[in-house]
Amino acid sequence: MTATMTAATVAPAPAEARSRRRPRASDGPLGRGRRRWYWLFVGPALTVYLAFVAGPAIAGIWISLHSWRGAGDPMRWVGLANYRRLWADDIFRTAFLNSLTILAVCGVAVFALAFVLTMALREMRARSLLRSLLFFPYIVSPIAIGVALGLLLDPRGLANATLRSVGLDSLAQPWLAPDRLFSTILVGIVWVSSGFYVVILMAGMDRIPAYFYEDADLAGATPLQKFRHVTLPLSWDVVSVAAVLWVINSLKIFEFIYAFTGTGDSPAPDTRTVPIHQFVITTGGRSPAYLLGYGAAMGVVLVAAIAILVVLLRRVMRRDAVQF
Amino acid sequence: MSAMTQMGISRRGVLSAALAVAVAGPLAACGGGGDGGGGGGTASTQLVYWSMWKQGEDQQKVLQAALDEFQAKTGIKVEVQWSGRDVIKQVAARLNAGNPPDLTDQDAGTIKGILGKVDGVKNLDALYATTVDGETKKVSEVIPAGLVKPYRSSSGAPIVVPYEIIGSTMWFDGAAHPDWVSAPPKTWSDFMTLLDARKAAGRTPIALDGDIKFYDAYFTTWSIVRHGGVGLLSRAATDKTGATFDDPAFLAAARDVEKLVKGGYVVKDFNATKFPAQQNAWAAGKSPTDLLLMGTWAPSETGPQAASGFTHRSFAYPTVPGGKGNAAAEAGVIGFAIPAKARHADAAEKFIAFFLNKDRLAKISTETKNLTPRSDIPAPAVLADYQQELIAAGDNLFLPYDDAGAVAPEWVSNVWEPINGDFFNGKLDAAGFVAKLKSETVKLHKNA
Repeated sequence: MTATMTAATVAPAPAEARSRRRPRASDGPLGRGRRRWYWLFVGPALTVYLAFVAGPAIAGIWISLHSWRGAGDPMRWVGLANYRRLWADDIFRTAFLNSLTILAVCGVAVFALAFVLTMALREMRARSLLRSLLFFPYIVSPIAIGVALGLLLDPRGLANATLRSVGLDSLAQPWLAPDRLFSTILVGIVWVSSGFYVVILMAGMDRIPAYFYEDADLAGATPLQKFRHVTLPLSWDVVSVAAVLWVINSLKIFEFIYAFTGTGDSPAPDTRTVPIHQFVITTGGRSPAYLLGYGAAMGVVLVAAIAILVVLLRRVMRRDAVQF
Repeated sequence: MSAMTQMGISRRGVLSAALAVAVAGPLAACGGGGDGGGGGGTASTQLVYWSMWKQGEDQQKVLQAALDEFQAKTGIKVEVQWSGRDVIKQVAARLNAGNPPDLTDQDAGTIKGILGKVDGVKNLDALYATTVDGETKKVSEVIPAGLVKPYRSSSGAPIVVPYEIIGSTMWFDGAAHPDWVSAPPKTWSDFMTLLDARKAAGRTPIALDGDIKFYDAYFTTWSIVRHGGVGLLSRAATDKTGATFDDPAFLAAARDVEKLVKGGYVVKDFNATKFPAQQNAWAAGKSPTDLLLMGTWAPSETGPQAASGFTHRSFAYPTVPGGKGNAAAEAGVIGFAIPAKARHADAAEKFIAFFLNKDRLAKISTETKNLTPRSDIPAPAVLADYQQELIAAGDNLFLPYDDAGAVAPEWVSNVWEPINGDFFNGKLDAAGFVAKLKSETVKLHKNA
């Protein structure tokens, strides 16, 4: 996705260059000098961009049209066969739906939680400390969290022991049982991700001058009204950036699930996301399958899905900026 | 805005990492070259070894000592990199670039599955015909042929020289069950009698870390081998028509395992815990379990958690009436391989013959507590039962998943492991297990 965004910012440059290249009567020695300098300045950045961003992306698309095991294996052209295979692959379909479920379900939960926490924190005194604490899960290695949650959610672990000690025996569950594992993962992702979005939203809301809220107080607005008429409109640009980031990050979630479902062998199909399935059919699992062409096709589909979703989201969330 | 800054930083981070790789690549490439030796007739003066072991592991210490001795005695300069378990993936990446290490090691199935598949390893028939350092025996005379039979190149030559044997067997506490030591259950009905007795005593006798499908599948693999013989499972994995699954051995095996799963013999919540919770609880006596079907690494993995007085003993998986694989034992090996295009292959061969020397190899038994392929090196005490099992099996040996991991890796990750998971989680009965294996195998091959 970084690639797509960079492409968008770089793209206008060559177009501009083309229009400048056309000689005009007013073009003096200065103009010619500028043209020479133009490529000197743009060149290094463009080279780096082409070599490390555009090149690998194009290579990915190229590989997706081949059957290839990587090391020492000649590439065999298969055309769109890898994409047809994706269509017929039940596990890929499950993984894709799982990714979308994380995007939608966790997305709603993360943003709802982030808004509530942001509103609550706005009026608290130790808020920068609390903000840091909320951000904490985001910093800790997802692998460590996955392992720690495994211990916590063990049938005889802390979570169930706590429930039993307060008399809620009926709520104690085998949280990591196959049927419940994906729901547990969804909750875990919300817990891990929320802090990051709280921090972004708070940064946006901190810019809102206090007198808007004072005015709203004088007018007798409820907290919900304040949120709807002051906070949300005045931080809309930040909210939309956060939403785009969520789309990108949620579809790429990998380590958390990987750590959670055990790194010994391939995670069960019910709990795979697209990146996990991609890993399993390439270099992951107990015996790697090295289907690199097939894996590249998954990558292309995932990037395309992200691009489409981001464009749609930007359209839906487009508003005129409120000046203040 | 903080998000934008963060993206900027991460992009820069990626870039600097990429640059670092670009700079380091050619430098590393210089390291191996220079002195030219290898196939050119003159003996190499250098040996580059990438190992599966990590700094501080027992095997690493044993190998390091041997490498130091080798360097001192031969003058060949050894460059070793303790890469860890992903070493073969790293070697595979280097094969493309044309500058692989001269020597590497891993589980032989991994070597065969990754390097052997692309003809990325050297044929070692010449090495098998040379004499072991300081002895009169040839390499082929100290390494049992049955152990290396599965690991051959497309031309039929051996590609791996093993120095450690691993396999799975049924573990229990010999101190608590001396009767199982003196008279282990031999047949399936003996085994069920034993399980029923334990169940009647209020136990769930089988410990199992069910989040690892590999461990679930120990039972199905063993049962399929016992009923249908070695090689049936990997034949079925690669059969495009799925017809191999119609062999009655599959259903018979599934019925046996179903009895274990549905009969209340497996520990409660075995699939809702995270490895190694169950095996640790078994060793520590914290769960009502008695048996653990596990690799030969079980004593070293569970030893630190074991209750005081716990004595690791083992017996073979029970035989079944009319089974074609009743004499088989599971035995994989960890061994050396020489990547194709290795520039100092002669030095690598010399080191292998050096390390196989009885006194040097014996340290794998005495210091790492593992079984070596040499029958004249005594097994460590905890593996004595397993060694007997192995000797009785002769060359009737099979690999984890009956070698399906090497011949059909995608089938293992996307068909075998998930369906074993469903079977153990009670979503499939015995007939459903076999039927789903068949239909998913056909589908996989049709899509591939």
